[in-house]
Amino acid sequence: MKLVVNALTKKFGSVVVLDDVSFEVDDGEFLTLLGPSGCGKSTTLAAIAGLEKPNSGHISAGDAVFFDSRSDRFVAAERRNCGLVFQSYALWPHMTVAKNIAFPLELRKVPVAEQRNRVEEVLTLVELEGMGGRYPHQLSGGQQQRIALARTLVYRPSILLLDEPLSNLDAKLRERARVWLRQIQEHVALTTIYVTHDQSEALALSDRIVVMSKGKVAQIGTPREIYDTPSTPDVARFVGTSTLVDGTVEGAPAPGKLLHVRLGDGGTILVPANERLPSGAAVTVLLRPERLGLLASGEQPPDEIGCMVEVSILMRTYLGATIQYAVALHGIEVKVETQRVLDGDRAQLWVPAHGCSVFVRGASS
Amino acid sequence: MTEASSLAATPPAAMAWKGLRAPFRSRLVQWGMFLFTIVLIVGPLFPLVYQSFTDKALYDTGQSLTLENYANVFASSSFRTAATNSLIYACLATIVSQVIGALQAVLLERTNIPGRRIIGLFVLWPLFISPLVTAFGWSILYGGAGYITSFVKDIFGNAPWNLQSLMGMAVIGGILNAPITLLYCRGAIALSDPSMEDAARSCGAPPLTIIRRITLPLLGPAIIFSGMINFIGALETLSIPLIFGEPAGITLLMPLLYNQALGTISPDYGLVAAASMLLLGIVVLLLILQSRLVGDPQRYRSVSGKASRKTTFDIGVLRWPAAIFMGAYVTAFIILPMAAIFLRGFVSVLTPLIPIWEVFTLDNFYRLIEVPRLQRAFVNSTLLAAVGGALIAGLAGLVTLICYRSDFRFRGLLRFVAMIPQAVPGMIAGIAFLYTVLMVPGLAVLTTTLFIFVVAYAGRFLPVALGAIYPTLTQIGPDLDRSARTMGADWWFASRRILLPLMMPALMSAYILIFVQTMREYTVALFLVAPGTEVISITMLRAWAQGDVGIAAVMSAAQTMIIALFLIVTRRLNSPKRTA
Repeated sequence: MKLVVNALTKKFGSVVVLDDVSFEVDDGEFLTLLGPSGCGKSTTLAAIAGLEKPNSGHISAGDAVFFDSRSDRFVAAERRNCGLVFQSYALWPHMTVAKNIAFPLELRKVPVAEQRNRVEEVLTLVELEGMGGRYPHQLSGGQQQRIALARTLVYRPSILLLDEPLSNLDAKLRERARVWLRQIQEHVALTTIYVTHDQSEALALSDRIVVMSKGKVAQIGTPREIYDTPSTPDVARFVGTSTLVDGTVEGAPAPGKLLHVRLGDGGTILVPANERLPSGAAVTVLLRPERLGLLASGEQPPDEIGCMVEVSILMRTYLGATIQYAVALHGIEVKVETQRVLDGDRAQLWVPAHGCSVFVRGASS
Repeated sequence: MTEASSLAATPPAAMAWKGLRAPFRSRLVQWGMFLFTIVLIVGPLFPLVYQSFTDKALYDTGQSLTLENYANVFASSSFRTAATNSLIYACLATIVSQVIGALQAVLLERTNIPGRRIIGLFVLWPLFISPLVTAFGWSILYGGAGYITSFVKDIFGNAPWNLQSLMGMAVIGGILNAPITLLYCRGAIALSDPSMEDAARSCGAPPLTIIRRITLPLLGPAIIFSGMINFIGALETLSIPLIFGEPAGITLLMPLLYNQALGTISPDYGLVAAASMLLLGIVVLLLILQSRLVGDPQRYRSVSGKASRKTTFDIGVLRWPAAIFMGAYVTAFIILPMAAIFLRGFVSVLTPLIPIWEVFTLDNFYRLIEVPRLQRAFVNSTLLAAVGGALIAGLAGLVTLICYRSDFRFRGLLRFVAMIPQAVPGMIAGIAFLYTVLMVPGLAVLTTTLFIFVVAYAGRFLPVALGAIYPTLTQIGPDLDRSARTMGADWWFASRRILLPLMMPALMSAYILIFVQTMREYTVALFLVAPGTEVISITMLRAWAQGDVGIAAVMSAAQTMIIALFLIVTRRLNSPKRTA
């Protein structure tokens, strides 16, 4: 079922929590709302579920209008047929797992015999067969999370809403649950909105990501678009590790739509010009540590467009799979991640032109 | 992934959602409870207000509005005297209760005095025993002709105390209210961060200095807050002034009001109503002052959420005199008065001059079983507490849910209204109820049944019950009912199936509280009893007033036993079970 969220605004007193939030989710799509805590992603989810009443805007799923401020329409949570999995799981401690899962079926007047079948079936789906007789507190965190999902899937909600469902699991389990969750979602083919502050989760799971910041939509795109071409330094900072360096544009665009950007102490690097920037414009350049290369002095540059800068190594951090170096690039500290082991305190930094993004400074943040 | 399940195959339409069964059911429950609570609590105040401004009794015809009643109250010298006495009594009683309560809190919670656990059990007794019973016990032991008074007079020729004075009454009143101070201080200690004391210790302060310089000052807000509660409580007390003051000619406001309303053949309704309104005004002012003075008591709580270890101070050899003092206090002021009540029920006369075995009798006990009026009192009180208490606890549970877990439009108003009874002294609630019954035709039918008590007590005990239920409700995460709502449950269904079952322990505590309160209650009941609806507390008060001390004593003992038995049984039942 297609979900449309349009111009959603929500204020608590004078604090604007949601400011003109709009996006669409296609039928069966997995969309993630990503952002730091307090960015309004959970409020958006609560507004879709009907637990929070926005001040203005429009929400509809398929033909059903959930909320429309102009016609003063607000459908109560219990009449939306959404399925919300809470961060806390919200399993009812006084009911067995089977009773928990049967609850929504009971509400829908499903005959008892069929309830039993459906409960077993969904328990099989989440790989917890035979656990129906247990109480929630007798289950591990990972099992509880799967029961919470089962309880929501069992009644085939028209839209599946997931509020940081993996955040209470430990790191190892989280990675496994991530794969599993995506498989289940594809299997049941439900339109899904997933809320998280974990960018790696968002990148791994989503068809598309809505990055939110300070109550606004900062960028909407596929995980690759979000990572490769962030729309603002804020998005860049939030998704993946990055170094942001300030500089000024120098001269006209070089051949191949490349720009020279002068950094702190006067050295220049080459970056792609994604818009027309006049000479002298103040810009911020985004450098991804894993896109940069570090070479020993005198080594040949790789066969791509970019520039090579002599740098001094400030610090090395051993990360296991890679080594992170902090180097001084034209007086600015830049992080580089590489597998190369380099001794000494001098090296050459390879800055590939297409590994950089450039933003006009002061335009938006 | 496991085999392709029908979950994926089922099109959403097959389980399509047609909205909720009865869409207006939740609203119906909410509006019903809201209107019921408003009528219950605010309703009875109207006849009182109306009566205070009219010149004739409210059941008469042809009243006209007047301010004369208020003028009469201010002009009456007996009211002025009573007001002065009440004020002095309340001040003295508050000082006594705060000093004793704070001292007990520090000694029992923060020091290593021997026997503090056993002493800690006894000091809370006055909360469970009817104030009437305590007053009887004190009178039997320490009154003008009391057992110990006579004993001391025998030896020294005179007793150094006189309970039939403002000071004497204030000591009893203070001792009665000290447990409230103790509980508030205990709460403050439990919530305070022990590192504050540890900090003082680590810079070399000895235990007594820490108690004096750190512990006690940190208790300040708790002492002030409970002090205001106790001051208002003392102003509202009827039992002690009625039993000790009245016979000696010392009149306080509550007995005066009681006598004016019930004690005369042709009561001046207008005067009583006006005086009640004034008292109500004073209490409301004091409550406002209390909230201004302390503000939000939360403000003083240390933020540390961890259940931190509490060490107690070693006060050295001082712990022995402290323990002896506490033991003597508990024995003389709490255990002995209670023992005297039990003993007095089984003798024809209690005096040190005659050995007890010579005057032993089961007479009072037999009368209790045989006289129908006394029997009825027992059956009625127990029924009222057991069944009425359950009804009221249920009502309170629903009101709490509407106030704190619903989107009901007037939930804020309901919260406010539900707390109003706190500001209404019991006597005045009783008078208000009496006037309502007199004024509203048809209500008189109710007065011949116990139902009138249930209605009156429901209004009366709602704030207490809410206070017992609300903290538990805040412990139940909002996601638990929100998840039920997103699955399609309306408010009423989610409340019934999720919240109320989870609130059971809290509802049980509320029930226990209301049971005990109902048993102890006598100020409202004074105005409600009729032949056939006798209750224990009123029957024993009347027996005492008629000089039938034996019957009063045996009834007191029985009432106390019922409460004790109930507390023991419910504690057994309420012990933690399956859900962890």
